[in-house]
Amino acid sequence: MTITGLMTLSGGTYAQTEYGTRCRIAQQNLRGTVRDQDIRTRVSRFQAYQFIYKRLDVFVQRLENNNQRGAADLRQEVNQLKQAIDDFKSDYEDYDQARVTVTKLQNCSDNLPEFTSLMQDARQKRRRVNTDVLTIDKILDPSIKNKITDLYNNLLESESSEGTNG
Amino acid sequence: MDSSTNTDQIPDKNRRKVLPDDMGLATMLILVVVVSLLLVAISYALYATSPQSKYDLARPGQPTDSVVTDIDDQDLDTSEYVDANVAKEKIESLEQEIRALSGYNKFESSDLDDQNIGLQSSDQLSQ
Repeated sequence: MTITGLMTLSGGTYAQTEYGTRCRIAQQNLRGTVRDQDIRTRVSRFQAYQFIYKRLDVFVQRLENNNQRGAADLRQEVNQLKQAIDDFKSDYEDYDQARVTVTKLQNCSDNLPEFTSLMQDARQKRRRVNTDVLTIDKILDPSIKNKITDLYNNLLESESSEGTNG
Repeated sequence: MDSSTNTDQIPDKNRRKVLPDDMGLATMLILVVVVSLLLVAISYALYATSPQSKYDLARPGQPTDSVVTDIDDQDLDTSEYVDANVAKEKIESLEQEIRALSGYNKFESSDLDDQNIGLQSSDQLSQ
């Protein structure tokens, strides 16, 4: 074995030992800082989503009750928003469970392959929550925002033509 | 003849006794306090074991930090006709809500990177 090979081997062993020591720090962070920030964000986002959905639902009901144009399209978008909010809620729950599973692994330094696999699972589930957030963002802007802007332009047009005719 | 009269006619020895005759005021008060504590303990246990309790972040004296719900959106009336002004107001409030949402974390997967959760030190990164 060459000197370089020996150095690489010792470096790899060192890195593995370092990783083993640090996995406990990672577990502490996942149990503390990450959890606190995540729950705060989850509560704030969910509260905000529900608020926005409720107000949009009322707006669409006004259009529906008065048989106004564009109500059906907007209703479809608002229903999609509701579905996306439900997905966000359940995917966050899955991610949170995966995070808790990582923190509960005993002697992570002796079970590095399992720790790595659980971490990958948690990251993957967090990615799903991120996708849900991006989906909701897209439904709100441009989908719903554009539909209401179209509605506004149509109403403005019809109101001005009524004014000219009347 | 009403039912209350019937109850009055039941002989004393046949009546069910909920509390013993010789129970004093102090004993009754202690009993009430014990029952109350028991109810509080049960309620707290139900709260603590609920999966939703982790989302209860509100504490007395702390301000609520939800930026979006502070936005003055339209009222909850569903009967009025939507005219151009109403639609314009809706666009404005929706824009405000979307702007406020952008201030929150997006659950990026990079938040769980080795360095961010402490699996990798900054020294290792610079190497």
